[in-house]
Amino acid sequence: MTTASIEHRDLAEDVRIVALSGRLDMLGMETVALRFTSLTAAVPRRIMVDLTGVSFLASIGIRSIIESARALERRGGRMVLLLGDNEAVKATLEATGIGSVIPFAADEGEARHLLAA
Amino acid sequence: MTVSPSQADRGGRTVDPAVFPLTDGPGAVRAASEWLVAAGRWLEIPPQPLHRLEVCLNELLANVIEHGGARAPSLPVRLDLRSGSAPDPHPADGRASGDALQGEATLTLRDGGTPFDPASHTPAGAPARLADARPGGLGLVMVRQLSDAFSYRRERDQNVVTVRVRWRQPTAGLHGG
Repeated sequence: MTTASIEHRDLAEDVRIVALSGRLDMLGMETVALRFTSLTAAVPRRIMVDLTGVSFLASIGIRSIIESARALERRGGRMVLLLGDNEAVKATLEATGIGSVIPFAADEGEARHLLAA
Repeated sequence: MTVSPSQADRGGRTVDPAVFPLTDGPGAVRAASEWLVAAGRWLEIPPQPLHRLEVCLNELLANVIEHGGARAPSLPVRLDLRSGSAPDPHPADGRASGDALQGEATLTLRDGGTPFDPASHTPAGAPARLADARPGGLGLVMVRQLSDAFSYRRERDQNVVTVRVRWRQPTAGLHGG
């Protein structure tokens, strides 16, 4: 099973993509949780969380996303989840109802549009 | 990791049960997932329902670790997996519901932790605002939403949780196959 990993790139001064991949279960989150929190707490206030490479998403991963999104919102920022065609992760997220408060995007263009809204 | 077939009883297939101590916490949950995926593939459970079952397993084991009491990590969890067929109440191809079957997989978890009925947990609805979103309590919401049936019983000092997922089985000959 694929180990979790995290990467990021800044599209603009105020826009960052944070790409998570692999298994975001309890073991995987031990690897990426702190880095995810710090990358989403930094200066860019519009964060696109790319989950297209995530093979498994547990509630511990979703908790981390929610906590970071809430902290971002308190700073006047915004988070969008980029899912691509990752139907398994989309189904898991939909089971929690999180889509009602953190928007999903099918591609980067849609994600940019949602971040600019 | 090896998966051993147990028996091919009428109406279902099973694999030998697996027992996992939870002392390693996250590592034990990962190992249990690996067993489930291997066993599920051997039982020919399709990928999507198998993934749903895997998510349920992860959340239920995380629950045992976090809320099962001080002794829970030292007590082993036993997993049983079975696949079979069940009547399809809503067949897609015009057959009478009594003639159509759907695939079904049943995962049973037994642990010796503090008595806790996860099936009685009443989940909160979807949050209206991000500020209202509760980071905790998501696991049981996910189990309830991703399973087709979910039940609990207490049996001889053990919590016994059963999770079922179902899927439509292709009809032989319908598509020329």
